[in-house]
Amino acid sequence: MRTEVVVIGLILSAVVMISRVAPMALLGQRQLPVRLRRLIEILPGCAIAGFMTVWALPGEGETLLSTASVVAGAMVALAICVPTGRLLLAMLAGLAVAAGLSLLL
Amino acid sequence: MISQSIKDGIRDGTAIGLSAGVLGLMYSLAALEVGLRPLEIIFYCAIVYSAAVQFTAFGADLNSVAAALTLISGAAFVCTRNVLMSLDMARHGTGRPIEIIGMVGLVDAGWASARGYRRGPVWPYFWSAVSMVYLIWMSGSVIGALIPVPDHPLVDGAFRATPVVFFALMITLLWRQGIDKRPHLASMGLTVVGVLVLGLPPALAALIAASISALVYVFITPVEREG
Repeated sequence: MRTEVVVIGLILSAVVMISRVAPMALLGQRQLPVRLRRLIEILPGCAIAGFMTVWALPGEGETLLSTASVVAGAMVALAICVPTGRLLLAMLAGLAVAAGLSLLL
Repeated sequence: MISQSIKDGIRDGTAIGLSAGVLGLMYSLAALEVGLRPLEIIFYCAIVYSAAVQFTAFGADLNSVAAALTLISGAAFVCTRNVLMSLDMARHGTGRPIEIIGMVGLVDAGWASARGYRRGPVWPYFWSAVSMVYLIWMSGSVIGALIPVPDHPLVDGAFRATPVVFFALMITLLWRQGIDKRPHLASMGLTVVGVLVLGLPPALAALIAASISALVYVFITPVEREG
């Protein structure tokens, strides 16, 4: 392995692990105000929703139509998983629809 | 009770992990294309264990202090949701060091499934679920790095949709726990406005949209109706 790759990997690992472990280690036993507690509960889901949207949007040189298959796949996965909770089935169906539509669109 | 939690964690972690495995496979294929070697890809997946951060590191170098700072700040930016998920998991914490150490396996899927778990103790469920996710993620990464995947438009279409479908399922896990959908939907809408109308960088738009949506929701929802 190249030295640079190892160093970059260790740096990234440190950033990721600190972001996962430090908050709980530092603040885990503190009593937080109710609204701050609610904000902490709601914000990660909102961030996931935001990042998901970013990946579904067209990149440079793309049109909305070019990412329509991705959006359709995600909608199919949602439509299956919300009522049934079947994650794997939803994932496979969503990917199958996205793959099929990517050929058509 | 503990054995039930472990069984539930293994079952749910396997279901979620299979989709994380596809994500690992996709990362490996993309990493091969940008010139990483198979062993380097497996190394990244094993110690960083964050697809979003690993994708942001493509093309990174350490030729200057500025380049290193750019790499670190970019990774930290993507990791902001880890901070929040870690804080949210703290409400289950009893102060045992093993709970804190267990946070190294904290990923979106583990948090989303564990935060609504009610059938037994949370920690055995969390550890078994995230262990399965990690194992299957690594399997997908190794397969992608070592075994040639057929070059076909259908495969490309599926790979392209993988992160979006995966995150859609994480949102679904939260909705099935009874969490209000409105702040999530608002975050999606505001992200679209931020990127397509205001021209903000995508990651920045997502974080601003999430912050606005969550803050507004928390402050307009009466405390007694929350939960």
